Amino acid sequence: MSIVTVERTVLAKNDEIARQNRSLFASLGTYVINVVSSPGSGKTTLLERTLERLTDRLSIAVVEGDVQTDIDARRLERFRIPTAQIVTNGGCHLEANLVRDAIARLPLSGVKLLVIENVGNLVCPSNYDLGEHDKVVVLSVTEGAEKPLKYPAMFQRASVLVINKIDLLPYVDCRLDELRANALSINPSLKVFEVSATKGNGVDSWCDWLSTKALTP
Amino acid sequence: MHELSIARAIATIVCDLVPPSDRPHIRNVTVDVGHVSGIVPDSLSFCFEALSAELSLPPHALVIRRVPFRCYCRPCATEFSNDSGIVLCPSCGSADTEVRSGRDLRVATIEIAESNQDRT
Repeated sequence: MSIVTVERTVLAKNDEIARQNRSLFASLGTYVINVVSSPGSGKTTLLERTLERLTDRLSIAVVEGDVQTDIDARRLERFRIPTAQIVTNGGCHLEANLVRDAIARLPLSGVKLLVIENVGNLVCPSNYDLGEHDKVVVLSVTEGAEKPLKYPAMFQRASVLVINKIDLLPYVDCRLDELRANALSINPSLKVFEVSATKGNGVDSWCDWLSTKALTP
Repeated sequence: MHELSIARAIATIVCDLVPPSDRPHIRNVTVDVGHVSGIVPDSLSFCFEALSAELSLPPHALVIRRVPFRCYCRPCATEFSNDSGIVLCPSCGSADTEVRSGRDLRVATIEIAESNQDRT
């Protein structure tokens, strides 16, 4: 019997392409976020509110990941910014090579902020580095305060948590302090924002933080 | 269900390292899967089995070693473990901790039967 010692990260190939993406972003001076969440937590609505506030402050491009349809990309057409749609045809997450191919279609020169909206899924995207600088997890209060404990991998790997739909707090059984404590118990260095993307509460401070990140070399 | 693409990545690593003539003689492909890696072991085994035929790999070669979540608290120097991946120290409450294992997703070893005796 011969034993081959491998000791190789399963996703080494993905991680290598992610490194190439990251060095491309560095050479372009583009700050990149990978936005992840369960379906329906409000990623696209948050993105719309963000674009409304930031497109006159900085140059932005978007990669939209969806299992099927280009509905989200069409929602963003009114902003007239470079947008590439990835349809995964059943795939539950984006991988670094899909992002590499999508950004090849985008005019990224001069773009300060690239937003990658991942497929709605709180499990699978956590394993795949896309080359982003920060992973932003969006969690709506309607999903419940225990979600960070049930889906720890995503909250460990994220550096930012946006708690969305805070306008619905009076109607749901979710305590904000409990949600926040659960998330910080998994990842104490998470930067947390509390917003209502539909009503606009808290969106300004999220956008200020984001534009500072994008404009600080 | 990203276990299919994880299984494919494992199979690709195996095929990179083992020449086609040796692949049917693979006994074990040992993979370390952390408790909080977000991977369901049964799904991973199922997906590997489903892929094995097209790659001429033995369907039941995958051996999954679960790696427990372990975290070390720097201020009070205790090591602790839990099922949720909570990194706050249960003794002193500190967040100044270091995850030592449990997020792993790694192909550890591949065992191949070499002699005719092994292969029968």
